[in-house]
Amino acid sequence: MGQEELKLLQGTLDLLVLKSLIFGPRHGYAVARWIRETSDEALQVEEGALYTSLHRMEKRGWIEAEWGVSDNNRRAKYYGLSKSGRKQLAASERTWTRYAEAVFKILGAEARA
Amino acid sequence: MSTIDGLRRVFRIASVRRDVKTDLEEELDFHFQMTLEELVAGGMSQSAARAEANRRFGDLKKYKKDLERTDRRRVTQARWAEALRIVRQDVGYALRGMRHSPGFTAAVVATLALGIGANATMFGVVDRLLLQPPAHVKDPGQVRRFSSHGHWSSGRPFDFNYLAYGDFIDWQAAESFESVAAYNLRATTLGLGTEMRRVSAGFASGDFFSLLGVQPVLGRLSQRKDDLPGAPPVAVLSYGFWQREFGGDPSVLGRVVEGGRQGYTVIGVAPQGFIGVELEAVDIWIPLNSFFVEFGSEERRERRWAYWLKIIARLRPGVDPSRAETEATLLHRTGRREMIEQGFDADVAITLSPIQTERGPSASQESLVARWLAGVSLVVLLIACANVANLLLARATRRRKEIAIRLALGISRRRLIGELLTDSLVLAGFGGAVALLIAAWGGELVRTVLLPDVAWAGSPVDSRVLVFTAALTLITGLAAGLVPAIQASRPSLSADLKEGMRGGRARRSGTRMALLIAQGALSVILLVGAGLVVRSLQRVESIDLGMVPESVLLARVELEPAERSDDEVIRIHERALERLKALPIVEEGSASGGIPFMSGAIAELFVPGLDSLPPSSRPGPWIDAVWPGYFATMGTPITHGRGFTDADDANATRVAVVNEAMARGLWRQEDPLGKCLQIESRDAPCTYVVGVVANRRIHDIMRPEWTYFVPLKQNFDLGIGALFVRGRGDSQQLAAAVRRELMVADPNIRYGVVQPLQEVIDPKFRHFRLGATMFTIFGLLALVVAALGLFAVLAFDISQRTHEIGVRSALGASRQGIVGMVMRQAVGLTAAGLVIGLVVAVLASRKLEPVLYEVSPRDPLVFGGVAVTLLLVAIAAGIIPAARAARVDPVKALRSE
Repeated sequence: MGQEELKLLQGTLDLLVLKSLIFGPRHGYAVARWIRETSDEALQVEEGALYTSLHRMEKRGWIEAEWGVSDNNRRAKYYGLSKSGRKQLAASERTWTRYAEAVFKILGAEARA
Repeated sequence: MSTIDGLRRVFRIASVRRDVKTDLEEELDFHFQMTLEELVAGGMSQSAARAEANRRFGDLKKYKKDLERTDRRRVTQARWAEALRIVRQDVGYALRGMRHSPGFTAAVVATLALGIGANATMFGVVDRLLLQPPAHVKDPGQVRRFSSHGHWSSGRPFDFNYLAYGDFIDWQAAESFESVAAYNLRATTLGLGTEMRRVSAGFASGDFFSLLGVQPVLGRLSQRKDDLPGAPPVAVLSYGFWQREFGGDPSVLGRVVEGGRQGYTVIGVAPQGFIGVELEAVDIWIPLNSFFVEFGSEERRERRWAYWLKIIARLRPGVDPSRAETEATLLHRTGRREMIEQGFDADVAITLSPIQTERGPSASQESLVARWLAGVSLVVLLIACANVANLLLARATRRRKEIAIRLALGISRRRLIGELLTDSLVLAGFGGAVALLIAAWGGELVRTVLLPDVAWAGSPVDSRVLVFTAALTLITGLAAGLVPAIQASRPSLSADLKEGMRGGRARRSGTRMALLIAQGALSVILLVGAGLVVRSLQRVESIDLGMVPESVLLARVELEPAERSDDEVIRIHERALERLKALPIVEEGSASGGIPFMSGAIAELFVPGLDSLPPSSRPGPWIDAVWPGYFATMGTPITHGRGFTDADDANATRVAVVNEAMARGLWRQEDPLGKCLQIESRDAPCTYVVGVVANRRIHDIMRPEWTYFVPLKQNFDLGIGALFVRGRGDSQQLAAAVRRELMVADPNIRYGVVQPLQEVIDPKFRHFRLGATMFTIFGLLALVVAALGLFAVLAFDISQRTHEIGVRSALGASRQGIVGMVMRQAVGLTAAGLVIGLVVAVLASRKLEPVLYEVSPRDPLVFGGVAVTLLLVAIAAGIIPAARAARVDPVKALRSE
């Protein structure tokens, strides 16, 4: 904690959600929790927006939903990456990394000057 | 592979069908439960945890709405995609199937194409005649057409669609009508010298265009002021005439078209396609008043018995048509009170019928036949459907095992039926496409041959025919495919899986047999109809017309407009006829007031010793005034007494020649010569009968009517209708020579219309010829289709029963026995259809009576002929399958399984 909360950059949410599913199907709650914990609670995402992202990507066919049973034996909707979702993830990751590298380069250059 | 696809699909559809809202609720519910548990486990109170969970989630209401919308879209999208995928897959499957069995495909497509094509063709015709309102008419439902109907004293009904000028005037005053208009279409001459030509003119009263709500494309249309006596003569050109004669030149306005007494000033052009409310083309529209001027017949305005105008009205909004009819009838009867008192038109009443001529009581024989043919084409389609259904059933039988496996693997029946229906729809689609070609060709044929006088617009395949064909194709595809699809999807699974290909003999489908029998029965009905119509045509063609029209020409002479005495008119014609008779190829010539099948007159007639004429004389007796040599020219035999000579002139004793029907009707066995007729009045001097002629058909080609002839010089009431010339050789060449001579015969002659008399008579037979031709074509089509169907089913059956037949012959069945078995089946099925068909035909053929002539609707010759034909066809269809069955080698057949 202690750190300032970061607002999410436009278009990043889908990427994060896709990434969260790379280790296998998860339900929405797990995705939210994973993003919160993995980013050390630095990223604040409204969970409503997260679900919106999930459903939107399901409509696009990037992820596929299926009802399953959670660890504590409750019915939950699990999302998994589809083939096109995987492709999308790879592409977004590449773009995002190149983008971030470029930004870092510029920031680094400024520090050297 | 497709089965596994099917399985997967089944489940996906199931998940998609779940309610979106419940799913969403459950998902979010789970989320909140988990969050709460986590927070409470971390030490929060219930209420604090709830608040925190809500904070983390954000605006729940808004998100829920968004999510639900997204989900709904997703589900819809998925359903469409799925449906499309299934259709694409099924269509692909159907197309592959068609490629695999080109023979089967060709048979089905051809059968459907003929069935649908026949209907598309007839629809194009019926649509024009009965369905489409006339072009450019505003709110055509409110426009009605007058006709009068009642009974002659003979009890025979009459229907007039022409009415008197007085009726037109009277009805204008009626409360029921917003507006009333009258018109008369006839040929007239326009232009001068070499520019001269016959055009079709519409003489229409002042309100004609405003009543119909037509707008001009150029200038203005004629109005009431143009139709007043003394108004300058004007004309409105039809669009086609304007294009043809004036190249669409807008400066035509104000030009004078030579015609009538003073020429007509062009004031406007009617819109393209406007031909009034009839079906014939009109070149030029002229105010009705000009008709009286041009034809010098002012007295026509007064004559209640001159029926020469067609009259239409626009109903006042909200007026009940039956009330309007009552009012019109009352005015009509009041107007002819005197005639009714004299016993004419005693029960006359007015009918207001739809604006489409052919829908009303004045429908032509041609349209009556067209309606019949449309019905017949539907029967052809039914047969085609039955046939295709049968072929599909046979194919489904071949695929029984495959279908059983797929059902066992869990494909739903719905999907299977869908797949099989797609199959028949694709086949129907191809059939429909070919049908359009047939309709384009057939429509052209029917137009030129059946209804040459109708002004057809556009191609026989227009957008309405397209829509009709598409709809019919869809229905046909479903109708032909539904039964086979349902049947195929309901096999007894275990039986089909266990049996080999040879199985299923027991279920050799009652449906298929029923379809075969139905096909046979329907084609019997069509063939009986065709037979009756053809026999009628034979009868009609053998009618003794009482004249020999071959090589007789009819020459109608139009004089330069001028005031002339009767004597002058007679002299002009006499001179012209002399010149014609001087031509070496002309043998005889004469003239008359009336023209057979075109114009004639009925005058009141009194016979001393009789109170009134017998009812059988009505309509009639017809009077015709003729020149000497008339009977010889027309080829009408004089059976008793003499014809007219030059001596029978105005100063001589008044004489008459009667036809046999009239002579027998009036005087029975007595000698008619020297009997007295009193024409028009009881006080009139006697006109003495000097001769009897054969019954010449006057106006009704079906029956002889009472007719008597008087010398033209003793009775000029009718004027001179036409000159008649009997010549040698080709009638067209003769006509050309006569026309040339006539045009130079006299400066008073403005124009001569010369045509073979046969041309006037032929249209009277046209509907019989056409009915017979088309009925026969459709009947044969049905027979061929039914025969092919029988052949296909038998052949298929034999191929399915190879094993059984092998067993039979192995057990000692002779070849003859096997052939007999197949032939028995063929003839048995046909005989069943034949019996049903004949029974239905006996019950239904009565309806055909209006288009028959002197043939009983139960003509034994026709029924017997059809029965024999059908059995012969059955034998022919059975021969090849029977031969194939006989050739089955028992050893091979038994080893093959």
